[in-house]
Formats: sequence, structure tokens, C-alpha cells
Amino acid sequence: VIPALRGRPRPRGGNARGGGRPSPAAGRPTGAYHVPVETAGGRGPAAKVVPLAAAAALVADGDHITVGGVMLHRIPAAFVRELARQGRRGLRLSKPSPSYDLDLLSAAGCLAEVDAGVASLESAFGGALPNYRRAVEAGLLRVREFS
Amino acid sequence: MTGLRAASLGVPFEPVPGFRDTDLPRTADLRTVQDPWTGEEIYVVPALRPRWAVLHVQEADAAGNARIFGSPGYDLLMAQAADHVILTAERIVPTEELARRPELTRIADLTVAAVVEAPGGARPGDCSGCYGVDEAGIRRYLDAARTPEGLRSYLESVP
Repeated sequence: VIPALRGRPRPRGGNARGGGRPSPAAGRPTGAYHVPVETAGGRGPAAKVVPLAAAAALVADGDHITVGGVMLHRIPAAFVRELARQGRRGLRLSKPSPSYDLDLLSAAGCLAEVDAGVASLESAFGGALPNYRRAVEAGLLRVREFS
Repeated sequence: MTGLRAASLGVPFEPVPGFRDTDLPRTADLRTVQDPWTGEEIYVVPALRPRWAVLHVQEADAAGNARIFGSPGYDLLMAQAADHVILTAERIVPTEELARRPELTRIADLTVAAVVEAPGGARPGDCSGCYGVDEAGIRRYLDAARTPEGLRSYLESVP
């Protein structure tokens, strides 16, 4: 956990459903598709194109996220770094094969819960995720390990 | 993976083979249901339905239609399982260009909330057809993240 990052002001009112709202994930029925969301940049043909910081600000503290790519392949690494810079807290990450992304979010103290399959850097880098391991051993993360 | 698939299909859980005689059902809170035909017990995984799927792609248009080259991994499943998608893209291309080869579009704009132009956005990982794994970049991260101060300066210097 980086106390220094905690002090950064979190943009308010900039996310899809208004700033500071609690994540409503828990109460949603599993069968409901296509929850409407305002696009990040308002209306118009290019409204969805936004800077990295604005896109990362859509994700609220406590949100449940999944992050694309497999191991070190095609991961949205710049986005993950921006979440850490913005000091996001209490996220739940579900990902079958996390690596750098999970380790960095663990190191930065962004996570509360993790659902993962195989969690590893590739063998060229020693395999293990040192900061994820440290966070789990310190009891900072609730972890569910799946296939 | 199974949990994301259950969410993508709109069902509350999905049966999985295996897990017997291991500790995983206890640690991951897996439970069993009875096969209504044979009466056998089988483990089920609860649906995992994230609010956001954040995906890095090679090409996207401004509306959020996207092409993924190389293995899509679990990204298509993630896009279907999550409420909303955020794309970061190596290139933002005109919609007409995607429309010329519609079969290459893997992510549809319907649930995409934001598109970020982020060339190099997968580094220090790779991006198929664009760049390989930056081994020095991975080692730099691992060295920096040993301490909070190191991680902080890493985040300030690596976009």
C-alpha cells in the first residue's frame, strides 16, 4: 500500500453514473443484460474517445473489474498503471490468468478481492508475483482460486 | 473462466468437472448440485459478472468496435460477461475501415463506454503484431515495486 498515492484527489462526478456512487453489483440479477451507461465523453459520434485518465476515472472504488489479455500478452497495462496512480481502492479483480496487472494492483493497494486461475509472471521472470504474494500473506486480499 | 462464461450466458452458475478430493471447493466456495438426470453430485462455479471489462486491442473505431489480432485470450468472454467495456487501442481507425472487413470485428460497440488511444498501452507486455514483451521493462517494474517509494516513482515515470 502506498500512502503517498492515497492523497491524490479522486475526480468526482466524472464517472458513468455520477461520482461516488456505491457499486450496485451485488443486487443485480444475473440474467439482466446491457445495463445502460452514458458514454464517457457525453454524446456525439466520437463521444466515447477519451484520455486515459478519464477512462480510468469511470472505475469507482469498490468496483468489480476484469482485465484483458493472458499473462504478459495484450494486457491493458497503461490503464492498470493509471488506476494505481489515481489511488483506486477496494477493487475486486476477476481474471483467469493475471500477471503484471495483478501484481501492480496488489503493490499499489488497489485490491480487496481477487478471483484468479493461474497467477504468474512467466518463467523468464521467476514465475511468482511477489507483490500479490505479499498482499495475500499479509491478509490484505480475499482470494478465490478457480480453474 | 467458467464464472465469466456463466455471466456471459446470463445463468447464475455453471457445472465444472473435477475439483473432487482437493481443497479448492473450500477455498473458492464452490458448491455442488445434483444432476437431475443421473442424480450425481457435480461442482458448480458461481457467475462472475464484473462491472467493467478493460481490454487492450490493436484497432478500435470511435464507437467502440474493435479488432483483436492474434489470440483473443478470454477477452471476448470478458466483454460479454461485464456490464460495460473500456477499450484501450494501439490505433483508432475510421469506422469505414472496419466495415470493409466486418468479419474481423471481435468486439461490438454496444456495451463499450470508453475508447482510449494508447499506443504501447500493453507494455511492458506484448501486443501481437505491434511489439514483443519488454523484458527489461518487466525487470524494471519488479525492482521498483520492492518498495512503496520505488513503485511511486515507477508510476510517475512510466505512462
